[in-house]
Amino acid sequence: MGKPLSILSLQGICAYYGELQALFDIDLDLTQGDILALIGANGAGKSTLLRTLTGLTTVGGKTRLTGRMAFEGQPIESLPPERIVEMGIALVPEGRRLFSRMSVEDNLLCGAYLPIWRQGARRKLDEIYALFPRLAERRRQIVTQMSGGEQQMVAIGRALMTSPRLLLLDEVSLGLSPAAVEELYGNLQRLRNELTIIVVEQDLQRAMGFAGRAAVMLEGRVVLANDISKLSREEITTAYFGGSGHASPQTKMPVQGVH
Amino acid sequence: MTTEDFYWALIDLANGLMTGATLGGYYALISVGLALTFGVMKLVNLSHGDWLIVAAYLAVVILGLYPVSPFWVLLPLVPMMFVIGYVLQRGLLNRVSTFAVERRGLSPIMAMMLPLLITFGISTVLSQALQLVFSTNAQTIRNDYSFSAIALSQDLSISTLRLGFLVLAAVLIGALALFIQRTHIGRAIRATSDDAEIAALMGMRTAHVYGVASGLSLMFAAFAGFMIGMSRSFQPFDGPPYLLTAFGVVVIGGLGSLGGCFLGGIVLGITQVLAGTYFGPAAQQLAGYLLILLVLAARPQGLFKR
Repeated sequence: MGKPLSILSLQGICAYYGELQALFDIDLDLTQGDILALIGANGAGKSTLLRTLTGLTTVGGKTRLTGRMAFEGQPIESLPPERIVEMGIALVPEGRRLFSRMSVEDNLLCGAYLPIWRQGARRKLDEIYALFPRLAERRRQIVTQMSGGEQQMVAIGRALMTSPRLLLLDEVSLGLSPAAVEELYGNLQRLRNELTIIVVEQDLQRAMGFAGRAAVMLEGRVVLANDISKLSREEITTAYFGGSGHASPQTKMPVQGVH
Repeated sequence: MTTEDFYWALIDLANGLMTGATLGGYYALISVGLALTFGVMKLVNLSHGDWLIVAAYLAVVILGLYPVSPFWVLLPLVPMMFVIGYVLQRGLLNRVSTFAVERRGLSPIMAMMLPLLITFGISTVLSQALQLVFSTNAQTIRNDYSFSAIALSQDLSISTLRLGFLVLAAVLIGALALFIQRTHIGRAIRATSDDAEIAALMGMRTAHVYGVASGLSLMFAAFAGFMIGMSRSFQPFDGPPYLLTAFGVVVIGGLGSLGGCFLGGIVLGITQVLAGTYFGPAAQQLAGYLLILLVLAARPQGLFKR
């Protein structure tokens, strides 16, 4: 067996929204095939981290990024989102954010926009329909007329159309019925062997079952990261609530309106 | 009422409906560009009317250099206006778009005001420049169709040119709708107008997509400007009234909807002509504005938007 290939490496990543710092000094390494669960309370910085990985915090003057970020050895910290997706990182955003006036198939085809992807778009579509058979039956339907679970399948399918090697899933089960979540994760199981995945998931049980590694975030920092097999549930919950002895986060929340 | 009175009343009505409908095609073509930039970029382009006049002047200039049959002028004019639109968007308008301004962290008021101010400025610059180059003399695109009409019966006829423009409007708007529905770049235009951030995550370059949308908008301004030049005379400061008409059509049809633009043009055209027929020429404009007010009050999403 060869040395596992590093797919993603973050060094000292800090992200700012104007004066407000959202990420503090994040270090993270993923090797090919890793499934990482990103765990943390609301506002812990999980979504910001995923947005940062896709270049959404590098664009524009209001958001700012420092530190180093490499994907398959290539630096990506200064690339815009449309370049990063081309390199092979795709995000399924929180709240799905489908193109609301389009059909299922048009939404999926949006994922095959770049000329390099257009060639194989048909074959790729068939793969998505094989992964989510429900979508095949409804390919002409406008997405807003579908259930939450089906919409989530479209969102994941759309990201897969960009032929990613690293897939970022942000709260894919949010607002779905337990049955829909069950079905969705059942479908996702089949991606485990093909992709490196970072999943943000509120349901701790579900996250631990799906992922091989976990990183706990608290107030913009990664406070605990390890293989799930080496982590106890207590360790995770303590880190989650910030009560552990781990690198107790020195919060530097900007105080507004106080002089 | 005698039979003859009844006959003439019917002829009046038929004439009004036909003239109104063909006028509607003309209105629709004038408005498509405005509907497109609003629909895609939420950009209210106050210089829209002036671009129609610029296109009309360009047509006159080209035909002055190469005196061919006037329709040939569309061949260079349409791509020329596309390029102008693309460059204008990339070079200037993208920097002040609502999206860009918000991203730079300026206030929402600025995000709303900046594009209005800039396009108002462009409007002024264009009309002044046209006056400088061409003076205020009225111009027209000379052609043999201006007074030709197709007789449908002894008392009923329809202007050849107007009918042609109605067909042209239907074909062009249909083609644009197909383009936006079926092509990759069309899909990107729809995606970007819906959620620019997510579109970027699909590899779509927002700046380029907006550029294409603006190019298409001015491409339609080329057709509309040509049509204006063919059917009447124009002067450098004629832009704003066309902008007003286009606003009306877009409001009636539903903001940003292409099919609505076509139908909205026809409804406005018919309303104006019928009002003119029954209440005299002075009622024509008034009826148009009343209709717009009525739609705004009763159905602000437009008559034809689902």
